[in-house]
Amino acid sequence: MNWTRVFPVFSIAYVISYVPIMFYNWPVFTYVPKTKAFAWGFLQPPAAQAPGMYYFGWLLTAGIVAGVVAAVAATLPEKLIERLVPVTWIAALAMLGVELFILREWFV
Amino acid sequence: MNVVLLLTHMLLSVALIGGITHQALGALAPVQKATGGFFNRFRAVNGAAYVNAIVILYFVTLILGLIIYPNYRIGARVAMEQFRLKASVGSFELKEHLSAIGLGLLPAYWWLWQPAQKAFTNSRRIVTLIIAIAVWYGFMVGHYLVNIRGITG
Repeated sequence: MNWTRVFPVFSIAYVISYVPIMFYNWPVFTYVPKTKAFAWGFLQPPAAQAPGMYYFGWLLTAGIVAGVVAAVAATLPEKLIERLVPVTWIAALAMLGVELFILREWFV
Repeated sequence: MNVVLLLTHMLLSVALIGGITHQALGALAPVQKATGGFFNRFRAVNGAAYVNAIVILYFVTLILGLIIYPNYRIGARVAMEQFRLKASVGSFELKEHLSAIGLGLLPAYWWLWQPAQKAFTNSRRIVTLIIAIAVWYGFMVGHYLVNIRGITG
């Protein structure tokens, strides 16, 4: 079986899951740059050590979610996966719109 | 060390922006032969030949950006917040998320450029365009923020 056929599904799952992962703050780990420390999951460091960095953890969370979805999709028929291909860019554009909406307060 | 990493990040992004722009224009407005003026020659490339290089460049550029990101977070960003440069901070936030969406699209992008996927021309064009926009936006914002003290006074 050609496992690369699930790549579009991985991408769809990644871009769709990334936005709620970011919005609800579900990082796999938190990095605290002032102390150079890592912690599992979400950590709000004490004020003297703030800020915590969650972006790395969000990328990894989305990667794990997408990997699981892609693994499940590997069991689906090829024709069904091919029908999902346009969803790749539709999902990306939709999620970009949601991101712009979430970030709007920075620009007003 | 951070300066070396930042400059390497910027140099790689220049290579990436060149490759993705050639490929995106070639995909959106293809020409068969490299004849005529600059614009015709610029887009007369075999886009498929760029794919692996673009995936590697995107990934390595992003990794370098992630390595130097903590320095920005506890340095430049704090200063920008103190100066109430909200839109500048927000621009970087958007760069961050656009880069993540681009990263997520890379597997589909690679797949869509494989010779067996000729049926998905529109998806290939649009996904390539989205990645090109992410790269261009990231480059412009990164460049602007590096120079923000000189630009804003």
